[in-house]
Amino acid sequence: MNGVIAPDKVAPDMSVEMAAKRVALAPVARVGSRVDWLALGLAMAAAVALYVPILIGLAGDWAEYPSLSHGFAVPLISAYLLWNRRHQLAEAPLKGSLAGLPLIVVALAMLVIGSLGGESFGARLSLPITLLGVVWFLMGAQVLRQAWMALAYLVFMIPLPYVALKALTYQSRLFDAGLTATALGWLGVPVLQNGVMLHLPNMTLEVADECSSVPAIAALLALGAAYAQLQARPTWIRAVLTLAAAPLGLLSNIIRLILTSLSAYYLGPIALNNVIHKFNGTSVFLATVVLLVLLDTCLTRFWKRGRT
Amino acid sequence: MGLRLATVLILFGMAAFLLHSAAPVTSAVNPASVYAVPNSLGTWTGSDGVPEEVLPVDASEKISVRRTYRHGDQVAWVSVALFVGQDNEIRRASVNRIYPGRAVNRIEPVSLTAPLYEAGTSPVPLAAVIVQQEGRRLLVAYWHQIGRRVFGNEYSFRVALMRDIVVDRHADSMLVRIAMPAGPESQLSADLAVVERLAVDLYASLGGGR
Repeated sequence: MNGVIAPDKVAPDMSVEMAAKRVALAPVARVGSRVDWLALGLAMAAAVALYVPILIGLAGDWAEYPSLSHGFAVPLISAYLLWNRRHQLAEAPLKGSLAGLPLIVVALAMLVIGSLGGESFGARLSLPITLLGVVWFLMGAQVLRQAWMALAYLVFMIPLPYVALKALTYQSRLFDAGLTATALGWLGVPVLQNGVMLHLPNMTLEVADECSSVPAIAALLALGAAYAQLQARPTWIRAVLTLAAAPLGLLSNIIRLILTSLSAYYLGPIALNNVIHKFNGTSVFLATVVLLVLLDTCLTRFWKRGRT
Repeated sequence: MGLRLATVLILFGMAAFLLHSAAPVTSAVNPASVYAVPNSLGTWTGSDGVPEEVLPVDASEKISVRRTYRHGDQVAWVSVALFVGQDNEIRRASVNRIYPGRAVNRIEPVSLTAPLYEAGTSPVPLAAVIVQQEGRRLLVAYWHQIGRRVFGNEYSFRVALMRDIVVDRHADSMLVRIAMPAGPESQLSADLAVVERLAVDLYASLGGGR
């Protein structure tokens, strides 16, 4: 054996002693005490205090623009998701990780540069990143694994940068107008599409910025993500429900545009003053919820049938 | 845990200090460069005013000079607007107010470059679109200008503006727009050549304030 002691030749009491020393030297993962959670709470409170100007700006945007009003619900849903995980969080082994520190530094750099440079998107986006970094740094990967979904969910409260939103909105208007014109043709309604304009025999309709589904995409994604977390489901169903909210929202909007165009063709201008057209955001939102529930029912049945 | 918590609180404190100790943003671009829009551009002669439905006025601009130029039966509209204090997001040039947005059938981006800088440098790409409305097509070319630097791309302009605000604490820029009625598709290159010439003359007269 060339002078190396084979493990099976080590005396049992010596082996136990060495193992005990090794355990004593290694960092121990333990369940968080009340003091640990108080420390985390203090750090979170400090983060909120640091971000007060950002939060005031966000709340102002949510209040001013109806398409962003879902922002008020996002922190509440995030808190609910955390509450839902309270038992797992309490039992998660606590072992702070240095890997969280660079994340905090990067997030704070985003906050400082974004705030001083007047680019609110970067500054706002840094808030959930800071919170994730703080949890990782103070509490460790196991706690982060339980909390990341709730903290990352806060991203949905941040409006997209306006320059990107504007370009996307125009493309979406063209797309919506094209699909609506095709569907109207199938339904026997004579229509001529010119860009975002739909020329009917009795009037011309414009698929305006407000008619585009893009401003509501963030709200719909937030809705899908929250809905997917409501019940215990396989991860793949959660992912499908989260990702499906945006295309289902687009589909709801196309259906709304087709119904509006049909009623404008058959009933005249009075159709544009109806409730569905006036509250287009709400009607698309409700229709998307219905479609999500239908999709969920189908997926769950498919999954259960596969198990049996 | 105590050391880690202290580290987090110190980092937060440093960020708060940086945010609250930053020097105030000042105006640096000389507004006189806005008033340098000439009465005539090459062989084009100008008169004051531009119809709002051709080049909309942006509520957040500080001042603007708007002129209509004519050359024979041709017409072109020019607007040069100064935006200051753009560290405040609500005072920025809105992408909604660059060209007409309502009752527009189609907006088609077109490629346009102009040799704005001194000889030997490559032409600068400018933003340009054909705005198609009922019964008319409008060619609108525009760029953002910080000092003498020209930005035809919205994203590169925003990055340059952010750099100016963070490093130099200046938050001013000009939005320069040229519009003219556009002919049919086959005439596009001729229309673009006219706008390119106007852009070169206009940029030369604006000078840049820094």
